[in-house]
Amino acid sequence: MVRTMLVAAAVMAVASLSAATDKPQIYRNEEFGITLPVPEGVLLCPNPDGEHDHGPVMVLDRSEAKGCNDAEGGRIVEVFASFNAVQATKTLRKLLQSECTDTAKGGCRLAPPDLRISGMRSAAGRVNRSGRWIDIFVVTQAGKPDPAFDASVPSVNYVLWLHTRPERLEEDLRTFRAVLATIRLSPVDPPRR
Amino acid sequence: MPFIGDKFYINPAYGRAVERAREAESVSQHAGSEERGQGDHWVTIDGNHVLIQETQAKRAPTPPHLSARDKAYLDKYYDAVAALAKKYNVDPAIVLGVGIESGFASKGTYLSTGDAFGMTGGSTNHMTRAASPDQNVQQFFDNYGNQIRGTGSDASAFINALQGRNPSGKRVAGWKVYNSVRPVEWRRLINRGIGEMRQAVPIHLSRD
Repeated sequence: MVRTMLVAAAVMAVASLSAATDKPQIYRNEEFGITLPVPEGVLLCPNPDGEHDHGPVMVLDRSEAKGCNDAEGGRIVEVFASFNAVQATKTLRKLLQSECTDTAKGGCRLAPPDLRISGMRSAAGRVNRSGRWIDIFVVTQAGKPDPAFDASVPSVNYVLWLHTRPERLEEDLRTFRAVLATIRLSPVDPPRR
Repeated sequence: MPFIGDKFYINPAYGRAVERAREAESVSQHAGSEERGQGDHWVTIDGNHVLIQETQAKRAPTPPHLSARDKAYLDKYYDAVAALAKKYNVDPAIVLGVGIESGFASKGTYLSTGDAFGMTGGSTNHMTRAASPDQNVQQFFDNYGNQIRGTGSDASAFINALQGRNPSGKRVAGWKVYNSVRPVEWRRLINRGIGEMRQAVPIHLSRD
């Protein structure tokens, strides 16, 4: 009887420990309303304490931690949030166009199918860059519109970006799709002082 | 008649390709199609779908306009920025562009901290708090004034300086870095803010 109880207790302890270690790392950003379970196998880059946090940066090859300080030098998935504050990027179309031309230095091509964020309006594009890099962007917007700027557009722009190599595209798309499927974007302004 | 969908095409093969691309685009641009410019279209070139934009040249120019948000921001921040910008020989519009970090003093942590320039960190241990726009501007120049000194109207040199680099982009030992993790996206963000303020500041000044 005692032996049975000891075995049961050991199993429960292992199960409990396993549950604790299996718990996914959660990235949270209160200002931009981002909650994201970090996908398995990627490295979430730390945001320096003194710098404004615009969203998570994840290096896809955990052995390449230096990729945290060299965003375009390695395979990454990142989310960049900013306030929807200028004419040039105030609609989804303009935001996507800006990403393709300004970040990736190319025209938007058709993205792989079904890249979307559940329940949100989004747009997607792809740029094949020089140096055998592929950039895939999914852009979306959320947040209460600001009538003092434009009452017809949400207040926060989000860019979800996959930067990868052609030979790793399919593999990295799985991680990117996991991010798209699990990310939650719900910005709420803090109370005024 | 070579109508493809509801449109006329002289070259039917081209028309079919355009219409196929338009159809395909709706898969990618979920619910966002109404935002596409009237002249924009996707075409297929060498098997790739490419968005062709023909919008800007055909649209009537928009008259200069200052949004209520930009007016409020410049009413609060312009004088304080202009005074210190003169001392440091930098264009005030460029400095004001950094306010895009807070939606030009209208959003996010600004509402609880009074920091319009995004100097507030990701941790509550590193919050920059300002009791007034004057104090906030002073904080910005205290932190970065020596780095941006003399950059004038050169937005690239200004952003380089905020990122701890000289005008040619070389890292300067001992200089602070505004955003080390997201240098590409952050540079683009600040460039957009500068563009907005380069349009807004002349309108603001013309109202005085």
